[in-house]
Amino acid sequence: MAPEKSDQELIALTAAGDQDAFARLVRRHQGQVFQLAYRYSRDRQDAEELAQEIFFKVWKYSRTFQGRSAFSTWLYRLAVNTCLNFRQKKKHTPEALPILADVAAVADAPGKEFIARERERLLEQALDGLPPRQKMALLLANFEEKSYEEIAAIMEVSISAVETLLFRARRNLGKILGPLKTKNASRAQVS
Amino acid sequence: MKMHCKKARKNISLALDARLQSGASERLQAHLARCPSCREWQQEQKWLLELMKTPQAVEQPSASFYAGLRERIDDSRGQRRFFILSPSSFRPALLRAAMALILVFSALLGFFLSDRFEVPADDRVAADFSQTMNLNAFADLPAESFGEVYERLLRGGSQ
Repeated sequence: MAPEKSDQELIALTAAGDQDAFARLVRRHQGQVFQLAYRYSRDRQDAEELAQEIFFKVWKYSRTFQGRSAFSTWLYRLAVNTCLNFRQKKKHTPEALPILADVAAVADAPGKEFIARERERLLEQALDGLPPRQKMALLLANFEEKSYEEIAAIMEVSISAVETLLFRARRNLGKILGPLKTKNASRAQVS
Repeated sequence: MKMHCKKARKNISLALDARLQSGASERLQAHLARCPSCREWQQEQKWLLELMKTPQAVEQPSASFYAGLRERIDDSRGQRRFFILSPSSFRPALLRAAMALILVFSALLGFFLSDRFEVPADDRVAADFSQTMNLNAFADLPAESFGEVYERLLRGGSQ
């Protein structure tokens, strides 16, 4: 059996118009691209539209890939820029967070799974409240598990800018979700 | 050296990602020991980190995803086929190249066809005269009319 071609080989073939090579690239990376798009947009339809746009750009700009960075970095860069522009275009207004009384009611509801789901929903809503670049840096660091160096290469900023983006993102997230922690902690003390 | 809370919190963020150098880490610990507000902030950040570690459902694109992508690529290829009619063909560089081609083509055409239309030197004066005033135009004029007399004068005849 022939060894699996590397990303570099596949993108070179794609640049030469090889549709099979492109299809293999899509199959190989669709999961991570769709996941990032989904985490960023929190909407299945938007995520599909974004993922299509990202892979269309891979096809369109395949000739410009010169191998100076890893293919995955180049792909993430396309994905991040597409996501940031998409959000700007749509002028999405995030939903307001529920008031703490609602959160408390959720915590009282039976079933750990339900609570976990609800926590996830609140976290996603809180992430939506962050400025787009802060949100993207946080997604890359905490969900995609990228290093600071990788995030800097993907977002085309310095490492100290990544540090600042992450610090501000966490500070803002703390402002949004912090009251939820305090409320839960005080409820735990009472019980 | 004292550390301010803003700097301490940035260092807490770095420490959570294991990015803090050992010297800075010691200074941060010293600051945390005497700053309850930053200790609370650190706890909050640890809690947020745990919250983000909650496994999320992995989503996959639907079957229509591939069809849509294929359609987009096919559409773009169709546009490329008819690029001559697209607005991109009016880009300055293309326009300049087209004008240069027309000029070269015109010059070559002139060079190769110039012989065919050249009037022989001997006949050139007569041809020029014929082009400026053709005396045959007066041939059918009635006798003794003004035109006929004028023609006779031009030919050098007497009245």
